[in-house]
Amino acid sequence: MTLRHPLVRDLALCIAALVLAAVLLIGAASLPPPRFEPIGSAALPRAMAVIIALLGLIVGIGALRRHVSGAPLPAEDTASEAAQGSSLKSLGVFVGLLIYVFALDKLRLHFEVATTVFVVWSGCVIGGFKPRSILGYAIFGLLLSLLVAWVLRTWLYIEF
Amino acid sequence: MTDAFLTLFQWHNLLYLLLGTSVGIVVGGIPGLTSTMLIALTLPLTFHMDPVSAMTLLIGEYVGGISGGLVTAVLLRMPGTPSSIVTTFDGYPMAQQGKAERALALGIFASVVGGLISWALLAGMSPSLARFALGFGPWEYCTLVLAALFMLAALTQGSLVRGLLGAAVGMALSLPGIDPSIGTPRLTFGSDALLSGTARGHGDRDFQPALPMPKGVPTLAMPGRSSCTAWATTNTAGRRGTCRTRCMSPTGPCAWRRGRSAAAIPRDRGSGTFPSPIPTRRWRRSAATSTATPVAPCPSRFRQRGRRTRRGCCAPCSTASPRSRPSRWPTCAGPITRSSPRSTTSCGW
Repeated sequence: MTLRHPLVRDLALCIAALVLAAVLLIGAASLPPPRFEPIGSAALPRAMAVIIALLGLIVGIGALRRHVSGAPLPAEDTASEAAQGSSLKSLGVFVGLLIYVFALDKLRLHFEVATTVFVVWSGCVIGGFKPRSILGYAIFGLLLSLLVAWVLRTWLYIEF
Repeated sequence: MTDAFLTLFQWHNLLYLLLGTSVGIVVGGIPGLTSTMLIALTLPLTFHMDPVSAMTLLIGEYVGGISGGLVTAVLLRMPGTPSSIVTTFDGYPMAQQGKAERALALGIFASVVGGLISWALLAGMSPSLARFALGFGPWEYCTLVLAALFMLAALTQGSLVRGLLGAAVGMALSLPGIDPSIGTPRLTFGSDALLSGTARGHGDRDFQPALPMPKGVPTLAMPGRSSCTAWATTNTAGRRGTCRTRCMSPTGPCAWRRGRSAAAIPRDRGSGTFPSPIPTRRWRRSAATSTATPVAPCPSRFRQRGRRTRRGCCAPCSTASPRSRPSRWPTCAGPITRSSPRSTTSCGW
């Protein structure tokens, strides 16, 4: 089983992510606590460490589960149709982004409303327009926008 | 506007423009050196110059520096400037096909056209663009980051988790340096080299010790292609007796300068071997496509005297016969297939 084997490759990626997360946590431990600012200097490295560790674990656990269950590897979209589809998706998300920024900057639309609509649009462009998906993306977008707004308003004292 | 053109077309201003553009192209073509750094270095020299001449020189340096990045993007697949990244997508394959001169010419021409269009837009839309940009605040920047994640999800053709992991690692790599909020070192681990971050590109701090790493690593991962392919592609056909080729990768021929081969072999092998086990989608795809499919033939300049050559295993240009060929030169032991990437043993090395 060489390094090119998918299991070894994913496990190596997982270990590397965990090591990087550990380095970030160790480095963040030596940073001073917050004094006047709402969030200390260590908050961002710690958050990044948690995110990297979680994503690394997802990759590693997914590889182990596939190996144990003997499930086939996810197909890689090497066909030109996939690349073309990806380009169309990118274009769709980009157009949505332009409208999103314009709505926030010029129309002064509510952040939560605009973000929810943008998440729904982007999710549907990427994953397909299905009623169940639209509902899921709407809930996710609403929660995400509320979370971002809460962080910006409560922790960073920035009003829209 | 007319007065501006008349002032610009004075001979000494044209001279400064030519000088600035030439120096900018050279500096922009060197990975790690940027037009920002060149302007910072030239700025003290302009203190005693005429303002129009000074601005002409600096603008020439900036435009030349941005355009010069396409040279390494085409020849080495290492964009000299971030704006030249897209040039690598088309320019480098053209260079591999022996059309490096055409790729460079097209790149320069595209830079001229793009520069004229951007100048027209800048001259006509600056006030409205400035008003739009001034409206950007923390909320808009936050939304842009959010949108970048969605763009990442849309662009990632493989695993979305891996794409997000790559983005997170990239964000983590941007953390070392001086914390902008409180001014204390962050994640530097006592290293002075990390005080200014890892290639953040903040004006005069643009040239970072770690900057060559992200530009060099992709090249190091492709053994023997970077340094020699550029030379091979910039030398046109017909220069027999000046090049030798070797087989290192299934994606293209590789050559290096006579007299430098002794140094190139250990350097390319050493630098490429250690990172090369890192699997990439390209190698996986090439290994999965076929087991015995011959790849495209070599460019014509590498075919010599009826020797069977395949892309990735080319005969030496100057060898008339195997008898006159040194024993350490490559010999084709069989067709090179996509299933044997970087198979140097089959080429007699």
